[in-house]
Amino acid sequence: MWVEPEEVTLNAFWETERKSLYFLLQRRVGHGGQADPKLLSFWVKKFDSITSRRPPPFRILHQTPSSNTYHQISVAMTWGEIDKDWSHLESLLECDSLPEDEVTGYILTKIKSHLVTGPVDPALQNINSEGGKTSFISREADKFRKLFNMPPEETLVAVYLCFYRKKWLYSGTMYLSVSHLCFYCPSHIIVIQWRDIIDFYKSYNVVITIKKKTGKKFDFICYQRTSEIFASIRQLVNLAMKQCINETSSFKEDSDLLHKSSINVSKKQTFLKRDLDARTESETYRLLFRLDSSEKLDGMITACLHAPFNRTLVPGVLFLSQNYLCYESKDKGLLSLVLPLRYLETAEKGELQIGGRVCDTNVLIIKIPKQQFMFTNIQDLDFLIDKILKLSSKIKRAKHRYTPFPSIKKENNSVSLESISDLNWSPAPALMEMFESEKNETMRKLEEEKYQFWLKHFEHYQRGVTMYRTFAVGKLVLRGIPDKLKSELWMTFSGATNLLESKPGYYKELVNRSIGIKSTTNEEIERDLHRSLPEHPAFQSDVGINALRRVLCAYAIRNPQIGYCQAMNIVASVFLLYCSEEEAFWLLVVVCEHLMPDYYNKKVIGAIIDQGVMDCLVEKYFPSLHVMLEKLGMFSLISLSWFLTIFISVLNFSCAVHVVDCFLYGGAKVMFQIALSVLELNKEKLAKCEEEGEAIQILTDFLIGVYNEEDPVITPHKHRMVHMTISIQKLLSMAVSNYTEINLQYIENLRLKQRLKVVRNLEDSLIRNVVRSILADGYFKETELQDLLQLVREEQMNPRRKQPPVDNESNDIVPLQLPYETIKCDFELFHMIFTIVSPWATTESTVTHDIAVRIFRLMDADDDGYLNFRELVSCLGLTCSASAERRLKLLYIIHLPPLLSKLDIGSTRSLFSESDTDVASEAVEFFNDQYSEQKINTTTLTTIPEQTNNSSQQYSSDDVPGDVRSISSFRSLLTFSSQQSGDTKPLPAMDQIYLIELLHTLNFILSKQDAEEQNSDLMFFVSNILHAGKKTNNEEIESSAISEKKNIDEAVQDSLSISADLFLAEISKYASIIEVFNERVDISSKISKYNEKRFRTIHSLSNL
Amino acid sequence: MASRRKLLLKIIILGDSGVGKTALMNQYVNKKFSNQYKATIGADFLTKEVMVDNRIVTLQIWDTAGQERFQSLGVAFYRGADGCILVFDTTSMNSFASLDAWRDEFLIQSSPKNTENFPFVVLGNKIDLENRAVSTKRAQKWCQTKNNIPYFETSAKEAVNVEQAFETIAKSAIALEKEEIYNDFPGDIILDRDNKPNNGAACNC
Ligand SMILES: Nc1nc2c(ncn2[C@@H]2O[C@H](COP(=O)(O)OP(=O)(O)OP(=O)(O)O)[C@@H](O)[C@H]2O)c(=O)[nH]1
Ligand SMILES: [Mg+2]
Repeated sequence: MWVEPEEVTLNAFWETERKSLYFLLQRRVGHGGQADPKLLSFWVKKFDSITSRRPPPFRILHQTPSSNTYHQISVAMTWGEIDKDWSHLESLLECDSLPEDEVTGYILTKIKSHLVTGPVDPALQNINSEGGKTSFISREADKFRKLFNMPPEETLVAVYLCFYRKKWLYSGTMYLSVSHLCFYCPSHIIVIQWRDIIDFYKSYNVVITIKKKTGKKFDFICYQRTSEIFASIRQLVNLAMKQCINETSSFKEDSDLLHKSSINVSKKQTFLKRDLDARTESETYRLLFRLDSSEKLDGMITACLHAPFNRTLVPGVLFLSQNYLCYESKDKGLLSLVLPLRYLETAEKGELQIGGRVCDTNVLIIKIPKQQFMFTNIQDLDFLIDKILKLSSKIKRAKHRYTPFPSIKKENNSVSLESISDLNWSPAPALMEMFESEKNETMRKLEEEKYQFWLKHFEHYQRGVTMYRTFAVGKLVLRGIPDKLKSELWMTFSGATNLLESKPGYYKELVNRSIGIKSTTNEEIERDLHRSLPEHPAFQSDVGINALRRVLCAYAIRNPQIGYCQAMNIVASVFLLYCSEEEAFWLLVVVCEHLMPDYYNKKVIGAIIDQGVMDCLVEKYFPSLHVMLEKLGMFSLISLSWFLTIFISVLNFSCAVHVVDCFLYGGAKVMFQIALSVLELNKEKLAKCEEEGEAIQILTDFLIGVYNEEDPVITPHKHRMVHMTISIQKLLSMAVSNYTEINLQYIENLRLKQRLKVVRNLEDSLIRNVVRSILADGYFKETELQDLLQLVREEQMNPRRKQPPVDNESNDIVPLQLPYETIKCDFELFHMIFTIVSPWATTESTVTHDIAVRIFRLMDADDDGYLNFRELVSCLGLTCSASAERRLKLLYIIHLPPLLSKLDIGSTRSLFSESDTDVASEAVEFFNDQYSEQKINTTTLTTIPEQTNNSSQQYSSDDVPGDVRSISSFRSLLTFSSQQSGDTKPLPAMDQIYLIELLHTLNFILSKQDAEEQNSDLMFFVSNILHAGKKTNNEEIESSAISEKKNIDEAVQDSLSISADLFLAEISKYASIIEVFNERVDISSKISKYNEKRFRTIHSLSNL
Repeated sequence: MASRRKLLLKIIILGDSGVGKTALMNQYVNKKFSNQYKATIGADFLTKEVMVDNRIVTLQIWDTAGQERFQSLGVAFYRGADGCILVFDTTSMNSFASLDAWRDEFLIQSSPKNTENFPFVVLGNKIDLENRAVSTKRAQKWCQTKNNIPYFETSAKEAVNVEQAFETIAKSAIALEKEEIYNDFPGDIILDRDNKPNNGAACNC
């Protein structure tokens, strides 16, 4: 395949296979040649693998005649390919005989022209343009946009060559972008949105199958880089799902990740691809060591950690990121370490002595106050040390490690006057200190014993964040953390300490900001303060309640995506019992953002996803039980409260706290392990259930019966008899030892699959609910509404669109929203949709725009600049499917003030003359005549018509932009006219200047049809309506002349007016016009036409 | 025939968070009021046996979480419900305004056979409190427009009208049940004989 010509030098890595006058065909040593020198070929292969450079093994060079300049012009993976190019070159030069000094120029241009037209293997191209200036990706991106008609903001991530399988194999190019998977070959164009994918998998190592929600499957066969392609797809799908979950549409490139200066960044991919890879790596890293979500992995290197407690060297991997140096043993779980660079004193080269003997002199020694760590077997030690020092110089050193709030003296001297009383708060210490639970002698002894165990452990393995984490810790945690150490160890294991230490003062600031805010969220929090751990004395007192309020309100400000979700109160109150307020806050942060991702967000998606994961696990471990539970129906929700409250709401308190110990140490997997054990223990009983309530009762009773061996006082639960079932100690050790396979990675994999399903289901049910909630309005069929909503949703996710504001901090407390109220559509979107579906619209027309503006204003009931879905449907329905009478009424109304103001007319006037529509200009002429006639008339008359008088208020407020009241009365005229026609007021009459506009619009609408008959009908109608208007007008003016005296000027102004009834009566005489207004528009077909235009979805020769 | 049909009635309690759903359920089932309930997470249920029209009926009362974000989970709980109790707090206008959404959502999600006559009751709770925000008239009017749903003003705290409200929903659920049995009659027999041989044993109670 042809590549951008690039000058190269000859070297021993390449063996020349063929030679002609101008060309060399070369093969890379070690790739298939029998005669290759063994050592050399070994070395080349090795070199290739070290640098992870896998250049294609064949290339063709062009030699500039009588010189040593060589240009690489073609490369290939196979002999066949390169052979083809070779033959082509030979034929190329056969027919042209050129002077020698022109040959190079000729050939290079020729090759370049091939590049533009011929197929390119981007993957290979990419490798070869490395270091070159050609921006391969930007060229591909252009092509991508043209081929698939993609908007410029659709970012291309990667390009691969592959086959599409469909009866035959079609060779083509696969484009992966931020929101699409596309494939192009001359006969097939495929465009799939990531969001539409419900499943994807790899089979036979080379086939990647994508399943769309429509059930359609696409098989792509990728012989090269299959796993890379699959991984990219996986990353992109995951990203798309996460975006759906957070309902954000913007994908931000992470510039830090792109420009990181690490050793192992390959330049062979697009920025974005690299960005994505780095993201995935960083995420795994953060999850592994429980680091803050902003932490980005910089590099990894193998190393052995010296374990002083048993004097061994443990092989593993060192991870370096901006703020941490972490280590994990190869043997997972054996040993790990987290070293915050903020503690770092020195990082230097030194020697390691074991038993007085020097073992190694090439050792990395990291010193932090009172501790040092040694790593050996590091390849590039000097580079690493340099890197560590550079990173650590950039961060603020922690002067001292965190100590809980030094009991603060009142800080009210800086308090501003407005909020005197409130800002005067001081953080609460661990509530247990004040409300210690009663303990008998044996319990106290047990506690002390455990405490001593831990102290001994610390002696061996160190204490605090930088402790050596081994299996031994896990075992101790399983036995339970003594109350005295809970806060310290919870903070350490969960990673909360790191967060707290890196953001001193943050919590206090949040609390101060949260004070006095009145919002739905805070209202919700308030309601739940006394419903968190009401049985505990700490939460029967103000101290506990106030602390809980501050923690929850502060969190709501930190993370508006979550705000406040019930269950957080329960979890937070347990933290508050053992930890200081600030610590409890950070523990809550860790739980909400790291340990239980998306659990508490606005749709509790994370929890639903994990129910799905649980379902998979049950199916795997207890297939027959799974079948049965499936039949009962709602099992998938039984464990919801278990997970959401970390079992606190279903177990008795002293057991629940023990679960929290294990959870904060082991992470989410612990909950799955416990849940599975609970099912296992109740398998037989559950198998006999006939009804879901029974099954749930069994599990509830079981959980209440769980007791703590060390705490004999079981608080009798509410009103049920409690039968002791199993001790929490047994349950936990069973959970941990029986389900060891369930680890973080395992769960993350299952979560990804579930995420696809859950997001799809939520979207489907949202669409179903919204559609059903407005079906009764009768404008459209169910399928039409679905298509419409689908379009709206897609557009809302479109990165081009700005998002509707999230009114999190809004002060008004609103009742539960109806389904359709959750869909908001701004004018831009409305205009777009209106243009697509409405028969009153054409693209790029100012008239359409004006109509759209006025209809939008008319229907935007709360005047907030957004239509909800129901309003949107009314807008469209009134122009697409309502009866001709209603459509004409709408037409009439949108030409009345205040919707159409005189100012608007001023601006459209100019357009009038530009558009050479006969009728319109005729109308203007006519009116001008009319107007002068009127003038004469009105000079003799002193009053204006009664009818106009009725609506004089509206007329006078004519130029006020939003006369909300009259707009709303118009609205009700239209939307409820069928039901309550009885008590509707008649429409006001229309003035001549507005009437001109109306006729203009009418012409516009009819001109879309472009039928002779209508045009002539319209002519007749216009002249008749104007005559009729004049007639009634005059009559009325005469009849009311005597009764009222009115300002002459006003009378002149409003001289001619036409009532709605007259307008409707006149127009209905013209069947051809009425026909147009009666025509039912099928919006589904319009939308699908639009979609086709938007993405040329699969239209092929074989007609897929 | 009728007594052989299911004696278990599934009743769902819906309403905004904090209106007193859990308190009402506990007052009815356990005859106690306590202000030591946790906020309901997910859902919870209690059962109670009652005599209605000389029949012993087991009421399975489902108490759901009121916070809006849990609403999407409702689907599973609503399925197969025989009756629905809508609760609002008479001291909170918003909780009353939400009734529409709760009712709509319930009907959409549970899609009962008979949307028109589906058994509902509306409870205006916490009438023991002073700061009333929703008038009796207003609540009654709303109930009338929704096919005359029975309306009760209750206090879970002082056990006012709780018993009556639950009895009413149980009665109308049974009434509907009977009607359906009547309608399904011919089909039922065939089903019982041919397709569900096991059912006979289970129903011999
Ligand atoms: N004064 C008074 N208070 C009540 C009454 N019923 C409930 N409450 C109180 O209102 C608060 C909320 O009651 P719950 O029963 O927990 O509310 P809920 O509807 O179950 O709320 P969620 O579980 O969050 O959906 C509690 O503090 C109860 O003590 C009542 O009839 N009178
Ligand atoms: Mg409750």
